[in-house]
Amino acid sequence: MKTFQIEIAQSKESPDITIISLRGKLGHNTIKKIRQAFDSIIAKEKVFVVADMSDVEYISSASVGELMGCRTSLMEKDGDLVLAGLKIEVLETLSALDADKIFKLYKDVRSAINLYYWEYQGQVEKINLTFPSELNFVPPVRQLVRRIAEQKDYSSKDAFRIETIVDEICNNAVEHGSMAEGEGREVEVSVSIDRKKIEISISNTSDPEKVDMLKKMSKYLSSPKVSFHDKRGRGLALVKMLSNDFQIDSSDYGTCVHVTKIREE
Amino acid sequence: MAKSKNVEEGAANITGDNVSYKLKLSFPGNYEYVAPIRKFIYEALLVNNYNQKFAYRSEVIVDEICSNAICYGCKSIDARIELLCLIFNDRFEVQIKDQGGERKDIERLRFAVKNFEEEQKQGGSDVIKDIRKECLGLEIVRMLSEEIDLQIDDNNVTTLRVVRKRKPFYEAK
Repeated sequence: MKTFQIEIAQSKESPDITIISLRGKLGHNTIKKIRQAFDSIIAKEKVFVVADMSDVEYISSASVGELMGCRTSLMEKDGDLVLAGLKIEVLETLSALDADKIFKLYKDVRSAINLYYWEYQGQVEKINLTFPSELNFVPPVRQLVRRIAEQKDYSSKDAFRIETIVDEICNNAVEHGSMAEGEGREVEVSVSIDRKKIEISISNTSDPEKVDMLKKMSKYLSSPKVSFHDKRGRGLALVKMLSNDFQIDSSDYGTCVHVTKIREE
Repeated sequence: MAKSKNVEEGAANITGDNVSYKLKLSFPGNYEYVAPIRKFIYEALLVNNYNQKFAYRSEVIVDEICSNAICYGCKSIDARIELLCLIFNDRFEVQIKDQGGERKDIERLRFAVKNFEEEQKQGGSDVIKDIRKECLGLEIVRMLSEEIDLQIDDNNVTTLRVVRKRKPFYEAK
């Protein structure tokens, strides 16, 4: 059994993040040391703390309570305490005390640091995807983007709207894109996501016969009108309705559709 | 017209030419992306006429190699993973590239892949049993695939390629 140890260090990635490494058994006799360590961190005004729990073998309810108290102190200073790398036994104790609903728990320290950049630094994460210009790839692609939005805590409603936007634009890209064989028959999807919005760009090579029609699209977008008797042509109107910003860039080489959707809930 | 025919038939022409579809993904080295991406590969295989069993096993391969790449090959906060998937009629190939990890991790991966190759030629050995205890993720990948190749460049950029073949219906259990 390891003896209790506590170590405080600054993150290599960001000096604003403090990493407190706890090791061994966190029993009732360790509470005072934990409080002293957090007091020293708060005194230095480094209020975003990741507790590396990967070497903690046991945690008592009193220690869990102390960590909750330390988190409250940090939150009063606009900071937070998150826990990383918990062993199953420790996680079970936290679950039994319902503390897993209070603390944010992460697989490792790096995942917790990612959260800091996401929540506090407005980090934008970018995902690029290229898929063959075939309609049957569209459902997996739209579901991928929806799942990413959900993973990033966007609401189901937002995620569904994002999925609908991706579906419509990808279908258009496949249907109206170049019919040429080979490398050109691909659709590129770029997703940039942060806490407040998601930006989606979908580009494809253009069918030369449809370039003029696509260039007229920008005019259509300012006031999309679909006749009652038209069987088609509602896709772009739908995308415009669901998005906050919508632009089409079309040239002889290709078409790129940019959509911005602001997180609503 | 060839395009619409292809779409109606679900793109994959099982008995015809060995058509390949290429899917390229680039994403941050963050565990949050693994679940959506593994599901994406699963669904991409299903729409290309692979059965659920094949798609699920390929999904497991993608999950393992992505998790390993993030765990060992993404040390910086802005690290990215590149995933290339090729869907053929008779096989699924996946290639993953990360920025490379610490020396000891790279050596362990190199050693494990090399010994898996040896095992395929010669049968089991004690060394392989030891690796199996440690590298369980890679062992799962090996069990579910036919080929594993590893390339490491001078900057430690690591590329792992895995091939899973479709078995003829009379061999599939």
